[in-house]
Amino acid sequence: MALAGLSFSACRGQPVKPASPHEIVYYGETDRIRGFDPARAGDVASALAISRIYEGLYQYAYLARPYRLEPALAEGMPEVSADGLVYTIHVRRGIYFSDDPCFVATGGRGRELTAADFVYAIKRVADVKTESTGFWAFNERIVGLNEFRDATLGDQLVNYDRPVAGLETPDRYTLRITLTRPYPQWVWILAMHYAFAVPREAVEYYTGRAGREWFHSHPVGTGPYRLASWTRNYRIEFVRNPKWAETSRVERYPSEGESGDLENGLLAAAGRPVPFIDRVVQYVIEDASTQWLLFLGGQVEQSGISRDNWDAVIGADRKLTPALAKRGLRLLTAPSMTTYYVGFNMDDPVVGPNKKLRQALCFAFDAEAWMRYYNMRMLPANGPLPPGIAGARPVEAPNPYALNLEKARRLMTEAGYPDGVDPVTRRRLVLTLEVGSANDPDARASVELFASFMEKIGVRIEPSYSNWPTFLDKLDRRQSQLFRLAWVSDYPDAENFLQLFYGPNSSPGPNHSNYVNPEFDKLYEKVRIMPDTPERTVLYQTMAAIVMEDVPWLCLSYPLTFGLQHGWMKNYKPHDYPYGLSKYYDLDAAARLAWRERYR
Amino acid sequence: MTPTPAIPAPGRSLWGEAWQRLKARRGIRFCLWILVIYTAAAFFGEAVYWRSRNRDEGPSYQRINMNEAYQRPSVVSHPFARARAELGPAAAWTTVAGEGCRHLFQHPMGTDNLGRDVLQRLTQGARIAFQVGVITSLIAIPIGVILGCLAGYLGGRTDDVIVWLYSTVASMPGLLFILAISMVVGKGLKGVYLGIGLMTWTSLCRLIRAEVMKHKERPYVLAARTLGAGPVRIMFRHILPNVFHIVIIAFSLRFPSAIGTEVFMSFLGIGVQSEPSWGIMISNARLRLWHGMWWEMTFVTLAVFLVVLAFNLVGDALRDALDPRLRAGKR
Amino acid sequence: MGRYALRRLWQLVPTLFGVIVITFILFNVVGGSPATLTLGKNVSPRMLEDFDEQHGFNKPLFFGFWTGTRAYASDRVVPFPPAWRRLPGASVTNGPADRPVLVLEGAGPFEAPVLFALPTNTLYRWTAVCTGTSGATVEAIGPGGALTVSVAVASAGTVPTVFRPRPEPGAGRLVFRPGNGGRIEIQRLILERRMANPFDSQFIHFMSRMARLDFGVSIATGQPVLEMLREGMGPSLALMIPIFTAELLLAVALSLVCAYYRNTAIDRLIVVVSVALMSVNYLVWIVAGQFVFAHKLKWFPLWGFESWRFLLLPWIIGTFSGLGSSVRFYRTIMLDEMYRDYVRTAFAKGLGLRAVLFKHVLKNAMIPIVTNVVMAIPFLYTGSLLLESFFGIPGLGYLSVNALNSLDVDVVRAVVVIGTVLYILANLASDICYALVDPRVRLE
Repeated sequence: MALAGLSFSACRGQPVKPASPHEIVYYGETDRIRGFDPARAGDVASALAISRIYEGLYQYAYLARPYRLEPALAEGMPEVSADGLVYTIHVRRGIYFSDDPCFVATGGRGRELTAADFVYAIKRVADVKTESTGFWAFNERIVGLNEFRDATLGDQLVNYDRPVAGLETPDRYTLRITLTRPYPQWVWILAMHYAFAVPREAVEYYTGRAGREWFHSHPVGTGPYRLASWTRNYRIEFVRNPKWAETSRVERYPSEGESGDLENGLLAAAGRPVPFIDRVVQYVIEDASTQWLLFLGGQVEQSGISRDNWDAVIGADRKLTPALAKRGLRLLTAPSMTTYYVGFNMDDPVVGPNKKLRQALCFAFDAEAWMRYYNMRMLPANGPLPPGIAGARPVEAPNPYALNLEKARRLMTEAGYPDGVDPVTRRRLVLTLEVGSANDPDARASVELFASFMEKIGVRIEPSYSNWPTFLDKLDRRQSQLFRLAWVSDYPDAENFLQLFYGPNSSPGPNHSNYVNPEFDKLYEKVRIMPDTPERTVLYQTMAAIVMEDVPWLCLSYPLTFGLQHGWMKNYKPHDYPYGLSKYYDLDAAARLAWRERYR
Repeated sequence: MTPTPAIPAPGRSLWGEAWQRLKARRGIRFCLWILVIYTAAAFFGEAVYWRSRNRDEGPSYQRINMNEAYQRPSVVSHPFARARAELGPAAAWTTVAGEGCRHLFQHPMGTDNLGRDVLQRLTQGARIAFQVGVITSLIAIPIGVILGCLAGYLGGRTDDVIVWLYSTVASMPGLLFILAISMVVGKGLKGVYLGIGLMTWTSLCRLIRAEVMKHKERPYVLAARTLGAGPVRIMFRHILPNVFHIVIIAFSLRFPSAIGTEVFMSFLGIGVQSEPSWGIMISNARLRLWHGMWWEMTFVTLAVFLVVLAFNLVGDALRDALDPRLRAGKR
Repeated sequence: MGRYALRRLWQLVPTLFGVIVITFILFNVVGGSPATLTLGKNVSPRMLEDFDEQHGFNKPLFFGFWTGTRAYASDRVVPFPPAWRRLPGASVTNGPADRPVLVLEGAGPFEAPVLFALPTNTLYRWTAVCTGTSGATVEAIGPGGALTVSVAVASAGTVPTVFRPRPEPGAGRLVFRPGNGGRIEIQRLILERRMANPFDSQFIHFMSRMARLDFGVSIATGQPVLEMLREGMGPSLALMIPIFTAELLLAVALSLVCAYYRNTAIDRLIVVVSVALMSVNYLVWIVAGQFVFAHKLKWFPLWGFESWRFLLLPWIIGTFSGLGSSVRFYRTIMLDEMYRDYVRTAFAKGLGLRAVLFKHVLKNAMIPIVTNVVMAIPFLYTGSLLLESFFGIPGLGYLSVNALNSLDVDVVRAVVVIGTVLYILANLASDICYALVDPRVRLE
């Protein structure tokens, strides 16, 4: 028992021995994941792992920019009724779940996917007992779903046969969803893992009883991979799903991309059946320096770059240093649909009612020095919406809060804090900045840099570091004053950002600034049911402008995704929502072997 | 705050004698000097901290200067060859020497990733380390002494309850619990103080209890009792001074381990605050170690090593001098 | 013997109880509900309340008839939920003693905002503490919509009115009417839920779970905690047993060397070196070891847990970091024995130093050594927090650090409780060993 976890294979350097010489193994790193239950995962790492195994009706087109969806398990894009309420979707025939003992009726052979699997998945998310992180996606949006949720409260068993009026299956392969009000972003939601097909048999079989595993550690899906093993906190291994070959299911690499893809070799594999990689091994490495050292040693294929390694990796021209380029490393850059910000808690008696104070802090933020500290790996933020999203200000547009210390000092005086001094206490104003990552040296340094900016207008920033859960708890209880956070969008639509300022969404909802503005709320209520039209984009801009004027956020930056990969990686293109897209990756095992021989 | 309790009180030859014995050993004298220097650094750090506090300005050890980031601690900051090419051999020497001295004076231990001086931050680290050592002792030692005296002297029910309490606390996985307490309490170093303080009083309590039980039957205590002294007076006026050397030894031994625990906790990101502690510095320095920024790491680890070493050696010597019967307990 | 063991076992019960109570207090009273962590970023108060309800986090801690609800959560920091701010005429200002006060101005009526509809099968009660101008009233409206009670508010500057209408199913509505041009200042406003059974508390719930050995499910990975502990034990033991054995053998050997050469330069050298080893911070051992031997020299793998080769470096680091204090400890024991009468007798009989050392001293020193070994067993189980987290060894130490960082309360609690039980048992075992080895120790 004690040594069961050890396999005494003395295979030097190479972590895992491939099962056959031709097998292509991908080594990656990941954050700790929370299991493989599509309804429960709420973090990026888990969602990525889940989307290797499970699939949804829609997925992002891998190479297309701006982002668009394409059918995955659906026959085509949904047929939407004229009032925007009824979505009719035809599910593909001939898609099978992977073989698993849970399919008792078929003797363990995976059964065919039906429309009912999607209905079941959505009901599961609504079930209170599932404790799903994704109920917000469906909350008050599907006719009859909230009544279903209420019925799951209490101790009694949940009856999944209870019909939900808005989730119908007129026939085996047709899904009809009725919404309570138009929701133009609905298709994006259908591409999220909360709406992935989940076989009811598996959920009811893997309950942790009778010596069986739990469902969240025993996923059963239709996707390109199956889970081979999962050592929590350490390693996850996936293997190619044999069901695809067995049922001759073929998915092909896209043959169209945006300009530049051809030159970058991204279309070399066009039309070839995916996945290319047979086995995926991911290590749970949370420590940035270990990640980096493993990457340098060629033991994982890709790496992010932490700020401290940046100098040694990238020259001033945002290109790789020659030493690393010589080793065949490649650098990939892409903007990402994320905004970093410092939020003001509008409930706080000091910063909440004092708009001038908030504006003064914004004018004191030295975006240029910030960029320099981060070695230009981000774009300066000039609004809550990142570039590339409809309604965002263009990157070149001037920042309304460009650094202006004079103005900032003037505003401080008008705000009642001349030179940052509180006239009542005759001491300098001290603001507490909540930070949610205590053991990340990078975050600490950047917070200290931020504090040094505010020092210039006399405001003292006192960072308060907590671990992530405590941090979230503080936000939920509105006990923060300033807090540092990022919003990583769920789908590429400004609505996903603007909901962060909607009054009824305030804490514990995602509006952690607790910003309430009736004018904004009215606009939001109008805009959220509007289909994608130029008028809507104009409204988005208006709303972003209102937010910029009221400054519930001090927008720090829009990060650029910089990825570093070894020369043997193929077909990799950075994507903001890479869920389910890893099936397109490929690598050259021979080149990897040669590299390792050479540089070890 | 040197652990030299040396106030050779008249009539208490134990202390005077112990002091003489300590002073006689050259190695220990050296260690004592190290401790004096660290204490001075800690006080200096404290002064710097309060000065900036009172003046209501950002302290100098937090001052960020991105242009001076990653400066190595070298005398030769100005390349000699270039200076010679530019200024000629004679002027080159003076320039290089002058620049070198200036640099050495400015940042003798180099600067970190935000251009802050490593030496200044080390000094602040000493301040925090000493705070941790002193404050956790101020929490743990009174608890241990009072409970130990009460249990040992009163016996009976009181003894049962106190023995139960310390055996309960002692049987909990210490480090894990310290982490948990400070995590739950939050609020930076306060949590660390509380965590360490509340978990480390048990061994002292046990020692004091045993010692007080021995002294309880000694003639001087019986005499005091017949003279009508109350239990509190007997405990704290008569018995405590006679067992006080245990407290001193316990203090000198727990100090370095408290420092070590703090380093470890800050490194894990528990109890982190904006002040630079040694653990935070190690955690910062580690990220940059792999591409040649060795100085921050080296100086911090040396600083921690020296103070802990000095404390350990002095603690040992103190124990030998004060109470040769006590064994070197494994900590 | 058996009776002694039984009695000692019985004595463990209060200790165990104490540990469980302390862990409960630490994590439940000071901690809080893990609802946010489980449910993610996009939640409504209603979803949190449902979660608390399912897990019993909205019960009183120890005992009580009344408990709070998230529908109108108020505490010292945010005494008035922001829903008030959406009502025109309502504002929060600083009142007496710097306590925030909610001011309602204008005709009103102002209804206390409840964030979601409360279940009608439970009783709720409002408590309002307020003052106001003359003519201002506060009234409670029952679930049917009928006025239950209406009270005039005490005028400002006098003792405030404490308005507590009778509990209603689903709380009913609380309406403030300052009257035209009037004003009401609310100092406190709370909404509480009535418990059907006051003993139905988190503590009782927790104790009964402990009694059933139900350690719950990890909120971070959704895995049953016991299973996690079982999985983590293997790697921890694989790491710790070799370290412990190597350290023990080396330390005993070195301490014998010290005893052999006692009071010579060799002895002193060993002592100084062990103190120096002790003084190197654990963190430094690991960081330096990993950097120099794994990264620079590439002698060992850097990180991972794939084969025994991956454990070599942690083994070496673990052994050396603990060696210093062990050598000191065993040396003291050996030297202690060296001055005993029987040793003097042995020397007097003309036995050589080597014979005395190995035949007599080592044999007698075995007692404290064995005790020490037995007492170390629980620590083998908990593994090494730092070694495991640095080297990616999926053992219990790493598990605990992760659990602490993600406030995975159930996991930490289980590790603590099981660690304590093992410690206590080891204590008992060492006593018994002591008694078995040393006939002078009486058991009764």
